[in-house]
Amino acid sequence: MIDFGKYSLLFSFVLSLLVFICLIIGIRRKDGRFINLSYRGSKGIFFFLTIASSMLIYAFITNDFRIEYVASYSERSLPIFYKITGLWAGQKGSLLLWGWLLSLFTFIVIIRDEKKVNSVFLPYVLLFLNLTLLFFLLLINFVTPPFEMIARFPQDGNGLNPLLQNPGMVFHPPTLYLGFVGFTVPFAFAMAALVMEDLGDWWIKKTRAWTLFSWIFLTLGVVFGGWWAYKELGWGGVWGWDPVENASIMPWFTATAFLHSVIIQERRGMLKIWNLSLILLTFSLVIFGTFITRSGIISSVHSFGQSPVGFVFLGFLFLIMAVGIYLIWTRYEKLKEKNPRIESFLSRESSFLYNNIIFLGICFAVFWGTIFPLISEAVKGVKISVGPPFFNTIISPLFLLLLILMAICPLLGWRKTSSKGILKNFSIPLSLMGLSLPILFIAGIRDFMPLFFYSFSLFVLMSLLRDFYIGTRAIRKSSGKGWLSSFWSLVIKNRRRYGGFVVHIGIVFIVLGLASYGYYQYKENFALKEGQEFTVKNYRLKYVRLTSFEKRNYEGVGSLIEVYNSGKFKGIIRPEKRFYKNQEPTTEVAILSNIFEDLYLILDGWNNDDSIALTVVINPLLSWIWVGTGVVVFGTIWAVLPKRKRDDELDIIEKDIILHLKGIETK
Amino acid sequence: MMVLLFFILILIFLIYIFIPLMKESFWPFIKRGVLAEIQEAKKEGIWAISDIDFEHEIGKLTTEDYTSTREYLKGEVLPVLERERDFSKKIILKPKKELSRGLKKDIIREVLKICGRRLSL
Repeated sequence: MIDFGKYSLLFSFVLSLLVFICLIIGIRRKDGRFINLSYRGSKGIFFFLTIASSMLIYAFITNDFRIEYVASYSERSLPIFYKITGLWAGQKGSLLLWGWLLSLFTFIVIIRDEKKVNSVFLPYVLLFLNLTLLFFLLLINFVTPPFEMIARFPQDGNGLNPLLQNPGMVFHPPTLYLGFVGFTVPFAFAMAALVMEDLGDWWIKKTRAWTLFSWIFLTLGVVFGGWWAYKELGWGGVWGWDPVENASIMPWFTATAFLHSVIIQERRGMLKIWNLSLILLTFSLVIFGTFITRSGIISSVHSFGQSPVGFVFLGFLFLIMAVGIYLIWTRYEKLKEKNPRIESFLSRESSFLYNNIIFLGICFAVFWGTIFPLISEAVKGVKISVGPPFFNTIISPLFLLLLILMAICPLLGWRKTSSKGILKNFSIPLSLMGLSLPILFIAGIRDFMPLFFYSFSLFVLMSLLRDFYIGTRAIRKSSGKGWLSSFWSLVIKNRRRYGGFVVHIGIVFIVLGLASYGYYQYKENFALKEGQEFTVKNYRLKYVRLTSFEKRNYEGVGSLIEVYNSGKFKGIIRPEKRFYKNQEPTTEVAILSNIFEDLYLILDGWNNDDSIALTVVINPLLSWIWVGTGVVVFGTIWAVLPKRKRDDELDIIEKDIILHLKGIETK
Repeated sequence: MMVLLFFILILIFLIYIFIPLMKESFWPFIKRGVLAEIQEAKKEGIWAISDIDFEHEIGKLTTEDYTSTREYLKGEVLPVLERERDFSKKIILKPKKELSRGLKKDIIREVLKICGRRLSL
């Protein structure tokens, strides 16, 4: 079985090399035989990588500790659930997963278009997809081989890091990889457009679903990462601006900017160079993030440790950046053609551009904070680490600006908006926001930043809800339907627009959750004896007793805590310490969550007389982050679902214009 | 035994992959031409008009903004439509020799597949 996996990987590499050569020959000679050969070869790569990945999972399930990777990340008593996730627990397996996902996406790209006569772009797209795949197969086969054998292997395995024994392990890495790998597809299409010098927006339309798919999985990956850290690391927060966390969020910022700016190119034919640069930057940041995570160059709780693999990624990063910049540079004049200018700074186009600039500003701030330790070490010889205060100080005001733009953008029209228009659309949301400021102030929110985060969030919500309302009202008026069916017609006919608005509502929820817990988190430490009661804000807590227990692959000690909120009994929760074989003890927090706040308990330690040290954290509105993510996912799915044909509507406008051509005015 | 089976599998795959080379040289693609570009620009313009029509309908755009923007966008689409009309005329010029009905049908189907149904305008 090990040989099966090993040879499958090697054969995939050979195939990838063959595909690359055939594509070059096929494109240069204009010979479809070589192109077809490369399509078949790519399908073969997917097939053999599927075999290799299945073999590695099989080795985990059957405890084949002769394989060094399996021995390092598994043990006999590990639940099967975590044995399967062992595939992506370490460097070697996760690179295999990356390669497999890329081969799957390549396979999908091919079967969608290979039979179409106008898919002349496909060989070029495949060239870039295969080049990336070739790089990964090179790594998997010769730098980090997952099927490497060891002569003296541990009989029961070394076990999986306890921090990875959490449901987050099932969701976080695969979703993040789906997002990361997914961006290879729009990148490859963009590069193909540049090589072919076919610089319209066809590549954006072709990859719209891919971009949204990758974006939503990247979003989920980042949020699952935060959720996992919240549950497992036991420090009471979801985001610590750790370098590896930053590595995952940087491409998210540029990808979000890209998602917005492509709308401008689709509608107005603007920002061609900008969009190409953004997708190049997004893909480059994905590779840069991988370099940070895998080189061990910056210390992080999430990194894979010191490894030469990171520097191979750095080389690859330089290669793709050089190719991308060269292609954009050499096509610059052609890209500038038919590129209308933005006419007014009060138009939807310009507000999208401001949004892009802020996203890039945030991305740059995160990038600078992440690499600053390296720069300081290179310049001064001392590694100065940059912590949350730097990021929070720089990024919070920029996020505030983004919130304002989120509210303003849907209220502005294309091309330009007159002052009358602005007044008409802004008056209600703006007055409600103005009204909220003194109310919030009286309610006790006195700090500048949270005060404005809350009131601007209200501004966004009001402007979005107003859009839903006036749309429904107009349909109701013209069709005579009821409110509910008019609302349904509105959202079903304009999926992309209202799906996007729902995503914005979700983002507001997330921002509210982050701002509330960030500014109003409450933390207190207690030393307690059995039966002792104590009060934290609205909560009355009682430490009942200490318990110890034994599970399949660990032993644990937990403290039973009775929780009462405003006098009502809410349940018994148990923060724990766990002791895994051959591993450091871990902390398992206990969380009691409701829509307004999370009660978060950490067992710090205990004494012989069963007295304990307990940390109590109260995180206001934290669950809104998870709810908001759900709303974002729903909105994205709504926006990407195949929409009802609007061809009839378009035909009417087209005929209207034809009539105009003939000198007959209709409007 | 397993290794032997695996190598047989690889052999089968290699045959499958190299089959295209047994055929005659051909190039299966038609490049996106001028018409595709025109249609892209046309669709872009029409969508932009459709968007502002919707926004005016729901009362988000003032009549003043709507009228001026619509005129502007219309002005952008008109030359594109003129180009499309001229181009379509060129395409539907009669061939020197009359084509058979079946062949004509096949060609039309292929052309429509590539260019979309709006070619008929």
